[in-house]
Amino acid sequence: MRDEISFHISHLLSLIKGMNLKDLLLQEYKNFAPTASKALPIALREESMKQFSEWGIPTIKQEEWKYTNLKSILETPFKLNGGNGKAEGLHYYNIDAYKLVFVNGVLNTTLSDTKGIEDFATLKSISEAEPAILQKYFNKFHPFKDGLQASNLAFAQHGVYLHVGKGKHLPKPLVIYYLADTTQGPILAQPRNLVVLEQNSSAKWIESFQSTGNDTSFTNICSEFFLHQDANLEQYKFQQENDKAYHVGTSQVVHLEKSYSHSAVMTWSGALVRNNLNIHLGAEYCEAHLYGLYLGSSKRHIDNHTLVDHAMPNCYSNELYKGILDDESTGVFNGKIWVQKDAQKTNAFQSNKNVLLSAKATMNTKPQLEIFADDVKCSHGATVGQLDEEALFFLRARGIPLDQARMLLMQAFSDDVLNKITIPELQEEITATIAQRLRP
Amino acid sequence: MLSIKNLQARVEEKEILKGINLEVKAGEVHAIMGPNGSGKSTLASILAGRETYEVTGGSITFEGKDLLELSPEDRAREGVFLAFQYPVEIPGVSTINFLKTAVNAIREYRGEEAMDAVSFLKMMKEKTKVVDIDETLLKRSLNEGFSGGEKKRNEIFQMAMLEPKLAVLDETDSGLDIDALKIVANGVNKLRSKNNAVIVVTHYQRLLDYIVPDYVHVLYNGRIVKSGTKELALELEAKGYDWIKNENTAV
Repeated sequence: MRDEISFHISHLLSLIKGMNLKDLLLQEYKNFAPTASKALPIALREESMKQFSEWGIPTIKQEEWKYTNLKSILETPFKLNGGNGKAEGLHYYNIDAYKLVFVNGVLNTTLSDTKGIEDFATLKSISEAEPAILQKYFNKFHPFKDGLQASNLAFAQHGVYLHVGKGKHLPKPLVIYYLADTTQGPILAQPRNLVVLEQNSSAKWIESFQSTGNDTSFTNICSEFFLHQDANLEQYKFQQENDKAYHVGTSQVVHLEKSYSHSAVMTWSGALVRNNLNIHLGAEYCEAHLYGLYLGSSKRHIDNHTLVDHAMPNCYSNELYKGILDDESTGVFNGKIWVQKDAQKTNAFQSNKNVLLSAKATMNTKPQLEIFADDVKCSHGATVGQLDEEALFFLRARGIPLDQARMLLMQAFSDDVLNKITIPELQEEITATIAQRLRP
Repeated sequence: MLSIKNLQARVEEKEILKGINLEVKAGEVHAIMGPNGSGKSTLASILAGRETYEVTGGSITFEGKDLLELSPEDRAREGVFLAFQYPVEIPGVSTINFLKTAVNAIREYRGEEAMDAVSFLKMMKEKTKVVDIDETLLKRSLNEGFSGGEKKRNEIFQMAMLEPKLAVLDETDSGLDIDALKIVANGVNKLRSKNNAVIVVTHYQRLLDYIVPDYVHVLYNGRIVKSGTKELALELEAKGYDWIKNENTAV
């Protein structure tokens, strides 16, 4: 009850004062701190908030945010963690999976169903995780000074803690649905997730972002994954929020020991989306795969930043990000590869391919390789082009109308990333959704 | 079936076709020969509707319709087929997949029902025999990793599947050894009927030993300067293109 009142008060205050987002968050933290879960030491939260206060919300003056301007969300009167959201209109994937449903950042226990997962893993709210676990794993890898991540950490309360036991393999994927119900106004959510895979365990983790209502929302999410010896992780992000939505998400995969990860992020909606995918290869013989697909249209902006940190020798990483940009949409790809001094025999590959469908679409792509070892194999490539004219003419000369011919080529272009969804029914469903999106 | 009258065309600022006249009736095979740069491929491209060429004069009538008014896809759907000189590779699009779309697009245009998967596969199996093409090749991305001969056979296989009224073979023999040539020519011959016609664009006489033409036309400097029967091709082979060049400079 107290939560509700204080949250309404701060919301009113923000409306009256015309508070910007930074001040809103600082204000809200004061209300939140007394109720914050003790699983995370308050000192850590305080420190994070101090960092947030110092670093603020990223501006285009910062190199990492040069092409992505958050100005438009700074003045929006968001409601923080509005617990009264409704889940109507949420689309569930047609697959057999454990599911968790978060509405406006808060778990809806009625719609969630994770029965049976307890035989393989511990699954709790992050606010109920053991302090010792959080101390061991939380926030251990921070390659960048990021104000929004600092805010996310300070507010870490609503989120998922999944700990898969030694030798256990989740028999079904876990899908976490994040629904932004904007029918009552703009909302802000800051989910925080922690996933630990013990020795020789495996899991498939899927985050699905959707909206109802026509107002804006801002999701500032951070998901961390820690992999022990021979662990196998697949994690997916599917972004299909409404056309006013803002999303800044960081997913970090930390390979503590020899392990395997496969990450894929696919975006075909939202107003402004920024995905950070950071992979830390902290042991020998790790393997990491990174895939991305983004479809830009109207005035959408989609920014994918990746980092593969080869800290140890003999690791293999492979990145393929593809984008199709139409209308006046803009895209950004920044792929960092760090090969540390001791990381000999590194194999790191990166490829970013883009198709522009209109004269006003823009793509900024930048590979950034920093290599400090001398016995390595690294390659990077970026292309920005249009659909192959010769191929288009050929298809038309065989009787296929121009629209359909373009569709065929765009589907062919997207397929090699869509094929990386290893759950067949889900691959089919997402492929069909994307095909629908590409329709003229 | 096809009536080309005084066709003139250019690409960028260069005039290539300077007044072509050609009549092709159903059941006929016409060969268009000529030295490099004479405009042979330009003519083939214009028939298919390639937009890089600008038609500056004349007309093309196909089955009573103004062909120049039709888009490339409509020309194909009306029954014009171009076998490309350099067939393109399209990664991610298999021959089967694209042909199913093409066949059904043509059927829709003609007011026919789309083919279901089973009938389509049946038709495919039948038509692979025309050029003896390996079915596994058809499941792969279009022409990706195909040898020159396989690409050309794939063109004729598509011709077999689409059953055009007018097939234009643009230097289909280029880059082929004699055995591949025979298979391709054989395929074309199997598809001939009194209801369709073929225009064979070629530099060499060799192909015409296998696809025997009813008429041979020699294209030089953007005009058809000589027409005859298949004997003309043999005469051309014996005397070379210089014979044509000299005859025409003298004028």
